[in-house]
Amino acid sequence: MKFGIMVSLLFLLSVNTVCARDGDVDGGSENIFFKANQFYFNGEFEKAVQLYESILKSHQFHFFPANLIFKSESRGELFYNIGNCYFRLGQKGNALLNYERAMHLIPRDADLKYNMEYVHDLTEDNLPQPENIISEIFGVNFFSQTELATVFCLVNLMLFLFLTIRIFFRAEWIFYVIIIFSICWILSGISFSIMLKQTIFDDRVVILAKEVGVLAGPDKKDTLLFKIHEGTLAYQERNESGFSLIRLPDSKRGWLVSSAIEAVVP
Amino acid sequence: MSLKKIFYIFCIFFLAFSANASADISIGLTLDRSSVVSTDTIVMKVTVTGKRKSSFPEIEGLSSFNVVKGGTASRLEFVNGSMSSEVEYIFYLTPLKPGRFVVGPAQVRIKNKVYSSNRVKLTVSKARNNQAGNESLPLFLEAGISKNNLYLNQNALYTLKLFMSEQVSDISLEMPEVQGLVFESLAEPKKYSTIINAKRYEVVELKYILIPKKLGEYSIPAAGMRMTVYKRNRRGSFFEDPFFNIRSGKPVYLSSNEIQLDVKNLPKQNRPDNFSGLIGRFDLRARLDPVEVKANESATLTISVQGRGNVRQIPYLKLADIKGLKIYQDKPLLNINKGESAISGEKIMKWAIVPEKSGEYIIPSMALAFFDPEKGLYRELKTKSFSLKSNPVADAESSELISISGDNHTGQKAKNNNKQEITRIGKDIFPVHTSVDPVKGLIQQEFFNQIFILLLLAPPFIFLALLAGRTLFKNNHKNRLNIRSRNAGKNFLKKVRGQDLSPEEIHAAVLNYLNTRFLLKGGLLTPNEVYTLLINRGASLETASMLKNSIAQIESVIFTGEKSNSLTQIQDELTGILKSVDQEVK
Repeated sequence: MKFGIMVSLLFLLSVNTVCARDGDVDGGSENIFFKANQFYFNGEFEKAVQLYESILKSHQFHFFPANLIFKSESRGELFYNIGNCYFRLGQKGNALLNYERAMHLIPRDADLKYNMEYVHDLTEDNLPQPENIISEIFGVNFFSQTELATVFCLVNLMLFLFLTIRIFFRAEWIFYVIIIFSICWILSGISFSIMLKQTIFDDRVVILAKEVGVLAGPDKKDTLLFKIHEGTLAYQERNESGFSLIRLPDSKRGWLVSSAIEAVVP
Repeated sequence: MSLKKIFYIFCIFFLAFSANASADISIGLTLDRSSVVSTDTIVMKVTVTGKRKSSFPEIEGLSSFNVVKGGTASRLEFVNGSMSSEVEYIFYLTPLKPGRFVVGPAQVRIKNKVYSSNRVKLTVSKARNNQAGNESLPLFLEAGISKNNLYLNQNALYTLKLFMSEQVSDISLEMPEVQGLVFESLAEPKKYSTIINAKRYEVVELKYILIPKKLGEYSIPAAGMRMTVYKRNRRGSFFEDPFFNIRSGKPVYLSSNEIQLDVKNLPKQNRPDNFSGLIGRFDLRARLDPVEVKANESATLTISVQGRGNVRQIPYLKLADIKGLKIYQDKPLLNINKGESAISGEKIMKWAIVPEKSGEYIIPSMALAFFDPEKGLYRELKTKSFSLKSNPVADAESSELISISGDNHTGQKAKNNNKQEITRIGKDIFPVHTSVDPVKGLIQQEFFNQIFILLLLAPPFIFLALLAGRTLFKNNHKNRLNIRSRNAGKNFLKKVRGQDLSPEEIHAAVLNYLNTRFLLKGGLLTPNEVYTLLINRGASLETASMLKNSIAQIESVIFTGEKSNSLTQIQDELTGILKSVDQEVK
């Protein structure tokens, strides 16, 4: 049974490699990138955003898990640049949304951290930042998605290499090497799994509207519970007739119009 | 240990000792108490630092004491890579008469150079022979105060002495609690011995500073001490040895004497306006450094107040605003030292003074008022007024000037070593990343994806494939052997039936049958081994012994070289026997 599931999963993954990429890479991307940078420095931030986003769109992956895991750090840089453009355009919500997206890919980037903190300081709602101790322990917030995937793949390679060697050559030292790699495989596998879980089930949304009323139900006539402002990070629970049920880090819940928010992982 | 390591260790020690040779040498003299009674024993220590060897110290002022040498202790320390050495000479002094004495200086000679120590004052009062009450007891507690008439907030020394002529342990102290009086522990308890009425006592002395916070007449209640007392065995038996001493102690509670105290208010007459409640004896020092600066450079005014008394109430002096000068106050520093009989301390206040323009500025004097309880008078100390000269700045230099932060300011220019806190002036986001890597990275993304997938999937696939292959191969090999084993009898018959074979060929065919039939590794079996093998594999005794005999017969023909006509008969017999073997052994 297990063997069957494994083979099916591996088959699915291998299929993805064949049809992973949606757009073709062309040499024009570099020019577009340079142009976008020029627009940014000339103060034409809207044009810069369009160009940066066009590069991202031309290199999208639609199939699991390539669309979730194997995003290169370059995408993080592009999200960072888009975030900067939105900040210059006065859209703190969009800026934070793109910084959050970049955070998955370049979590140790000092510029990104600084800008994010700065924009957070400018937001109006004072809410506690959610903390995940397990993610901290397993380094999920410190390493990028690609790094975690790479480490797991390398450990996976080494473990199975030595397991394969042990089929033919039963030396004692190979046994101990396999034990060490097994431990590493478990640890990196946990980190990888947490990262996958966080990415697949990331229900975070950022408020894009300047101010939005949070209601007791998915109807404009429902009682207004509280108001939240642009740039606030919330968790989306479900959607219903153009309204989304959100939960704030301080556990306040309510409904707001879906157009006022955007998911960190689209 | 290699020679190289020994050489390095030698070098380290050589450098350390050569460093020691150049270290500063100093000598100090200390007494364990500054006032004693004539029957007390005082511990005197002469400490020579910077050298582990010196001439024996010669000490002045010991003519009124009986001196007993207590030994020498030397110490060598390596701390943070630097070495320090010290030698300590210990002496026990017993006063010969009461009086006030000056002990010291102690002098030592190191490399033909004489080093002298400090002097120490010692007051020796008369012995307690005339005191009444406790002196005949083996244990008693005595409380004392340095003054019975105090001013409000004036410090006094409260002393508790436990006299013991018997062995005690588990001592716990209960200090008196009086509303309006504060006790502050001074130092670690001291232990020494004394003689009262020709009886030797061990004394534990505790010192406290008493601070009256309210006016009035006080009766300080007795302090208490709980302890366990062990009585000495006067017979001096073998079991007096502490090793065998398993007697249980007796709990004892001791109370001290009560003390009367009168606290009165400070006199209102001649009280200065700037008096802040400071009582004791204090000294005031002031310094301006430098006295001449360029415009926009800073000078530092330092004022220190030091003395004995309620040092925590030393006020923060205020420097008045002076036109043309920017003044930045630094956080004052208060150092408190708990001495043997009083609390002393020093408060250091600093101001950074920056002249805005060139010219001469006068910094006015500042005053400190305190009450001297010894003389019963208010006193006022004043700093001298300083003149700060500010020179004009050349144009080229003026561009180097920096602004100075107000927080924790040290008042120095950037080129000086004194550091200052950096204050944030503006805030903005960092710009976009313009490196071309983002795009290149995207182009390489597909390749990396395939590598990731390959690394993730290929190893388990290869491992599983190899594992499965090996398992299949093993199974196939085993099956093949089993088939061959089952066909061994048929093959033998094919080979033997109707053939005119030599004895060697018949022998080889039989052994081949046995090896194949029983999956043996092809060894040469003796008739007895064949017998044992068949029995072990489940053949009957008859069949086993028949085969054994047949093989023995063939071997006999082979090894003796006899020509036998019965070979055909043996061949037929063997055919029958091996059929039986096939039937009997599954």
